[in-house]
Amino acid sequence: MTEEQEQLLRIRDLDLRFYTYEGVVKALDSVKLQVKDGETLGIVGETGCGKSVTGFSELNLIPPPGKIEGGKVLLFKDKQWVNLLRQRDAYLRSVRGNDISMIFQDPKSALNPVYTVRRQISEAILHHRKEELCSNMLEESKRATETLKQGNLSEKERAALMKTVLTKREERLLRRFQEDSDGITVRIASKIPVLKRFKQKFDEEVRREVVRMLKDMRIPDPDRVAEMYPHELSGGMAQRAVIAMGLSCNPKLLIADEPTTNLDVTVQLQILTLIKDLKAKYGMTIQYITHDMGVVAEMCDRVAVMYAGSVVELGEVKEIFKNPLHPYTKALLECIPRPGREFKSIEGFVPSLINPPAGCRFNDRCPYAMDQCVSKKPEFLLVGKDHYVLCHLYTGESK
Amino acid sequence: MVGERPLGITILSALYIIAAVVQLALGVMLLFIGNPLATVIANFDSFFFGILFIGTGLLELIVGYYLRSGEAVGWLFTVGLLITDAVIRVLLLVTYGGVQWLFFSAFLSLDVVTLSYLTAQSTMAFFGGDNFHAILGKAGVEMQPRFKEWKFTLRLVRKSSLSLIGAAIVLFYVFLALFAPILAPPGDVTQGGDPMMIPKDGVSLIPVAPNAKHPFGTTAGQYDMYYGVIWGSRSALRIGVLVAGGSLIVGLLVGILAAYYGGWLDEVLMRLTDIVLAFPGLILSMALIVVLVPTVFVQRLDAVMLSLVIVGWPGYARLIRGEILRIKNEDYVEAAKSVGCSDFRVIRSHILPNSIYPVLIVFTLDLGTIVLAAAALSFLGLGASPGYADWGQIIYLSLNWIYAKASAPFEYWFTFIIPGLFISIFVLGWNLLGDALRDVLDPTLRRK
Amino acid sequence: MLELDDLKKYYALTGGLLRRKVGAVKAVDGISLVVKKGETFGLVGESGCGKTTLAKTTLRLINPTSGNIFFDVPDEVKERIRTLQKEKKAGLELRKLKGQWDLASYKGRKLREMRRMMQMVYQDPTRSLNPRMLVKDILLEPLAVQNIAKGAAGLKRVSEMLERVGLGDRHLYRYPHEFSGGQRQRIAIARALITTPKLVFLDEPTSSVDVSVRAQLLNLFQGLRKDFDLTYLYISHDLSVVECIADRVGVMYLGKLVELARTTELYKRPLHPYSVALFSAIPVPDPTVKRERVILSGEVPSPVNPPSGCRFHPRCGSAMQVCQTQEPKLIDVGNEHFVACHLFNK
Repeated sequence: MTEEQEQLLRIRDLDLRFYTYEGVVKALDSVKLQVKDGETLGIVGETGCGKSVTGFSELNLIPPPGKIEGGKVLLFKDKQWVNLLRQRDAYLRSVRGNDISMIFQDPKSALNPVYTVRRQISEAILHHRKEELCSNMLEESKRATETLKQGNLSEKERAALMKTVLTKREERLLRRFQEDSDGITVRIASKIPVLKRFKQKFDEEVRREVVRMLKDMRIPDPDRVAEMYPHELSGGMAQRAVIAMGLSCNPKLLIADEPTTNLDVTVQLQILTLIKDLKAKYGMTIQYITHDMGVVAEMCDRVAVMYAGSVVELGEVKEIFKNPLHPYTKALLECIPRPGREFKSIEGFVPSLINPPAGCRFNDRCPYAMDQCVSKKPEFLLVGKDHYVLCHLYTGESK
Repeated sequence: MVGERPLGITILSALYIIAAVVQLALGVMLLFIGNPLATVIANFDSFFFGILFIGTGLLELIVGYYLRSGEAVGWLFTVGLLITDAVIRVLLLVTYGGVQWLFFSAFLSLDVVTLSYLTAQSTMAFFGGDNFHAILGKAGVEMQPRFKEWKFTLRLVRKSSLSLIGAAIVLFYVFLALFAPILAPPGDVTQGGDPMMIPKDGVSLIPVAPNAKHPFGTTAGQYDMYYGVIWGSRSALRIGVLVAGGSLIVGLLVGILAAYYGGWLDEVLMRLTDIVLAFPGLILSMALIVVLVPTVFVQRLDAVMLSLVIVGWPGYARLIRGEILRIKNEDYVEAAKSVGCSDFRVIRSHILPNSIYPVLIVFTLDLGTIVLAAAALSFLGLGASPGYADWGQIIYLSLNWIYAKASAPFEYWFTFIIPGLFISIFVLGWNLLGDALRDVLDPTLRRK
Repeated sequence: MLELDDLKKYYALTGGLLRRKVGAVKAVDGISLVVKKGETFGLVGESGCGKTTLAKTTLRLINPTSGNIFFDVPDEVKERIRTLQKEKKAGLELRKLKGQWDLASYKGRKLREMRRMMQMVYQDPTRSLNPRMLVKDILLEPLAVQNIAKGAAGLKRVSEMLERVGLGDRHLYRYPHEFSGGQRQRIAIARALITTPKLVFLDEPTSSVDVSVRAQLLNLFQGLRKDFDLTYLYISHDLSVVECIADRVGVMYLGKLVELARTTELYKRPLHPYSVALFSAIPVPDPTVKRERVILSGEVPSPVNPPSGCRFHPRCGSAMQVCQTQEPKLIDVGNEHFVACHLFNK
């Protein structure tokens, strides 16, 4: 399929279980998802449907007692498909933050209260982009030296350029640092008064990068904000700082786990606009997890609807809103309060995931349930162009 | 009839309570002026009767619960239940026969007191049995969610072997304390009949090594060590419970008032707390003992207990104050106020149950630590009077004998090692239990 | 039924060595509104605007700094009190009248009796229900405290109430954590209604539950309103829900009421620049609709140092010179539509 070449991430048959005191919670059941390069995919569902853990599974960040019991998470990296579930920790650490980044719901708890904003954002930068920054510094120094040699510069220009020039010693130490930031020479050097200047210059470079990021996030007065602690920030600013952390290494895929749920509606608008603009600027792919259908309609190109641990419908946003196929999607859209109309709700409760129904998990609440829905699991069928449904009603129409 | 509540209690319960009270009074009378044998047999009869209904009734509930959940333990409990039931019924038959015979003979000899006693007891049995089932039936439904919580707690406790060891140790000491009269019979004339005074076997100040007559040897003054450590467990538990309990009550009072009402009351009470805390604990208690003994108390151990309470309450006050400050602003407290609850009610039903757990944990740990403090005071000579059955006191007697002579320095090891071991293991038991309790009650560790 | 007259709640800020008052957090700054009997009054605004503080102050869970709260007070008495206050005659008559009619001055037993008439449902039922109390006890408590019913009679009322909110007797002997979010909120609603109040404050009651459960709860609210003849004050920041449930809506910003109108009128024709921005920020669950958005700059300023004049002027696109110095008052622009903005000062 030519479609495959456009995809960035694929999830196939993902099974996730939590082994708890009360039993085995089958949190995810054969989840199938594909994210196209450059799009915004929405993952929508209610509490407990598994949308957040799907995001975590993509980064293989499920804490015990959870365990991924099967399936693949395929990322298209370096021109090939890599199954992230089968990689070593070291490899995963190079992926997290770098290729795939995640931002969370409550910005205040995503930020460590005892470190400044700058320190936290620079953590990510230091981990992934250290070599790049060092190279940049070295190059700049070379260029500056060249320009200085040419002469005929004003005092101010001279002073400015002198700042970026590195001495031979500093250069050497920087190169060492670039190779191995934990080496013993480098560590000692960064403590000795004269030698540690190279580290200071590097830190300054990192700080400049952080401020640049904060400015990108449209935070007013980024120099001051960088030195603030999380509790001094308002909700909206804190969320922007978290987004800055997430984007600091230019990831290809950004997983946003309900980033605006806790924010006021006007602030939400600001953040959503910001995300849209950033996406255009950096060319990111976004996986937007939410329970708000309005946000989905605003932000997303395609959307996946999840219920009780499975993806029940997947397709383009316009198509799904106009023509929802799965009974749950239909019911969900009906639930949206509209003035003048009576409130519609969905009968019944979400089934317990410890003893989920054998067949379709929605069968006890589905108005179209048939006999086979109780015992047989439905298949993920392709109905129409790029429109998938997990439902027995459409077995005839599938391709 | 069961279920209706005029005046808040059922008629049956009322009759039951009246009969029980009458029986108690008559029983006491009988012990002194009547036929003690009758009392004993009749008491055993009601005892077994009671066990049969209450005990097996409760057991039945637990069994039923376990059976429904399908655990193997359920079957064990069922078998145990059946056996217990059978044994008690046999015993009941015997004692019941005894009661009938007594009734008959009392009737013949017109022993009014015995007769009335037995009548009261029979009434109680007659009505009580029926009522118990009613009470239990209701309790069954009400207790269900609580049972679930207990079961969860027990499971967590069972999982940790250290907590079981702690529990075993504590139970061992309780056993010692309860059965002291049997394990080390008192009543020696030498000490004036007070079982808490250790009997002496001679007057020599040199301790005698363990032998057949004195399994743990005798310490200076020829006090029997075995007797001392066994009865010492009573005094240890008594000190622990009274002092920890006293500190808890005073600390709670101060802490609750300070935290709930805030403002200047909070300031004053907290400064008071700070003042007491500023003194080194042991030294303050020593000073207090020296003052209290001649003025208030005769028995110095009581002075020790009071001084330890005075030194100990600030810890509880601070702890409960912190918890209450945290809970005071919770939504459900505000909701209770919005309904019109009085301050007292808010504190009692909403704030206390949610804040008491850390305090309870410290309480269990304190039970051991206080005994240690009391022993330290005794070692310094400020504890119980010489010859009193208290572990610290026994060690005090061994002060001169810790280092005997150069050739055999630990010749008299038994004088301090044995009571020392008893103390250490006691404290260890409570510590383990307290630790286990904390792990179990910590809300972050509870679920999953 | 409920009338607030210039209600204010200031929190004093102390500073310096002698803990002197250096400033005040003006959480509620002069709110006057009327809630009619039987209606649902919606109060919207973002976090920090003071809507929750307003509700709690009206319920006397927080004590107001100044202002009157009239609950079911005859008009003549209200007028009399207002006249006396205007003339600044702080005499015996005023005090007596206030003690009898002004909720803000109630104390002791009168206050407790009043609590029966006004109740509140909180936002997060996990936090508003005592985790160590059985449902039965949670529901029996208001009855016992207000001396309505005890023992078996009380239990009967509790059972009826539970049934009315969609739960059953089997839920009596359980702890709150054994229920789902929606069920917990129902228990909270049952607790609020068990004393048969006349006015119920709903503080974002559906924001912590799922969309499908939300509709169930909203239907429940409507049903209960009819059955118990209630008046609601619905506080929310979810504008789409308020649109469906409220008869009249008030918009708050930084402690002040900036706009007040009937729901259909307000949503069709928001006038105050803040309301316009607020309504345009609601995400529409329809991808084909492209709405014109007003994106506000900056954040809501802290209520410690509110901007001078009109509180919204630093962020307002249509700010004029007068907005920086003079505070606008609520003006009637016809059709029961009130706005506090200099743009409409004709």
